[in-house]
Amino acid sequence: MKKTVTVNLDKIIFNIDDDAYELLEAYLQSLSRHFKKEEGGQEIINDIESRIAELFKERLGFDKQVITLQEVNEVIAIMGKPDEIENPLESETTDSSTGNPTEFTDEAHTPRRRRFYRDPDNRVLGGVASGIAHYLGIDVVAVRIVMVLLLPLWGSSVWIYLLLWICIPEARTTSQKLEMRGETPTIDNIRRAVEEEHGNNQSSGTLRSFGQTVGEIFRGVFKFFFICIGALIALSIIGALVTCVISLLAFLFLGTTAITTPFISIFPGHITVLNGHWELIAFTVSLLLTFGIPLYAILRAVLGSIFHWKPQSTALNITLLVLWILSLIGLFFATFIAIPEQSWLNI
Amino acid sequence: MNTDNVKSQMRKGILEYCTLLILQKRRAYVPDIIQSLKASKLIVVEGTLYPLLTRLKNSGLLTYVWEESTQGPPRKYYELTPEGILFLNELDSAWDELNQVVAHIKEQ
Repeated sequence: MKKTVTVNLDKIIFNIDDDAYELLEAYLQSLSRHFKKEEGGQEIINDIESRIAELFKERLGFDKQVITLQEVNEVIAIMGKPDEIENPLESETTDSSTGNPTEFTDEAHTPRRRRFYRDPDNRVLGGVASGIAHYLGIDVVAVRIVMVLLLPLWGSSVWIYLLLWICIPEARTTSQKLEMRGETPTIDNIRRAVEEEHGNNQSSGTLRSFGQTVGEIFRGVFKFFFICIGALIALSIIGALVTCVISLLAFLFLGTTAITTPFISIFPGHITVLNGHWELIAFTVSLLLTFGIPLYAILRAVLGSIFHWKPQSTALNITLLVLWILSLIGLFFATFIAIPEQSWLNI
Repeated sequence: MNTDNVKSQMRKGILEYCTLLILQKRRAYVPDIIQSLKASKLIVVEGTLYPLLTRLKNSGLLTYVWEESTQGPPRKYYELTPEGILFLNELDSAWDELNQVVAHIKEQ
């Protein structure tokens, strides 16, 4: 069984296999990157799309209703990759000579910067560890061992893991997976990766080993525990957030005395006058935001991964990050510069 | 220098000329043009022709009409404009001239 996608090529609907779709999309994107700068580029792309639709139609019938990798490969061979289109004869006559290097021989072998993605194919929780392993080019076991070793340090690896899980996107498409491994997402590479994945799916579908099943069960049990722990964390964070919000509101409406006393008492010295000072207002607001925003982020991530929420918008993330940095600066400023200067502070 | 490279440069140079020649006889759909060009080893992949035809059309040498097709989306049939015919005549004489030059040099 395979998943198919529905696409509209020049107003004709095609059902196309998931993997074939990725290859076709990569192909059309490479064409559009190539032609979009040129005058009439969109028209060229439309013409090519329309021809592809025709070629697909020729290959379908009652006994064949879905476009597979094979058809897409055939069509790409007929239409040609961007470099073959521009150099119509070189791919045939000057393979390894002085002619322009083709996309495949040139780019694919130059080392390329890897991108940091979470790896969904090789994960225990969120694929962070194998993402790091891909990024650094080391074995995933090494990363996991380091994470376990860091655990006694105030559970730092747990926090790093959660943070990366929140910040780093998952490699979903084939081209993202290629970027993760530091390979250029050229058509040939995508084709290879798609075909490999295709092969893997088939083998796991027909013959499922005992070990895999046991692994699945362990993962299921682990996931259940994870959800329970997540729910506990979520509840406590919700409590903390509610406290933050209530404190903030109370502070804004009732003044400083009610709220700041417990916070201020952490710092050396006595504060005799609490009301009517902007430094204290800044201090309190910064303090609440400094703790509130990370709490919110963790809560969002935990709940999001349990209930499969959509990731929130980048704009909101950036706003929160900027706000958090500002509140850190504000907190620092209020604590070390503005407040100690005040004469009302008896130290 | 290698011969393949020079040969491919030569073929590349006459690709537009040959496309116009094919269209002079009858208006044609892109795959038809490709058939003729492939037979004479002037082209390898279909994709090459689309940008070429669009460029020729945008410079006013070609125009196209839509025709319904039983096999899929409507097809673009390209044909020469009067301007294109003039252009082709010029290319014709240039080609003859080149032929003469080559023949002349060979005789020397």
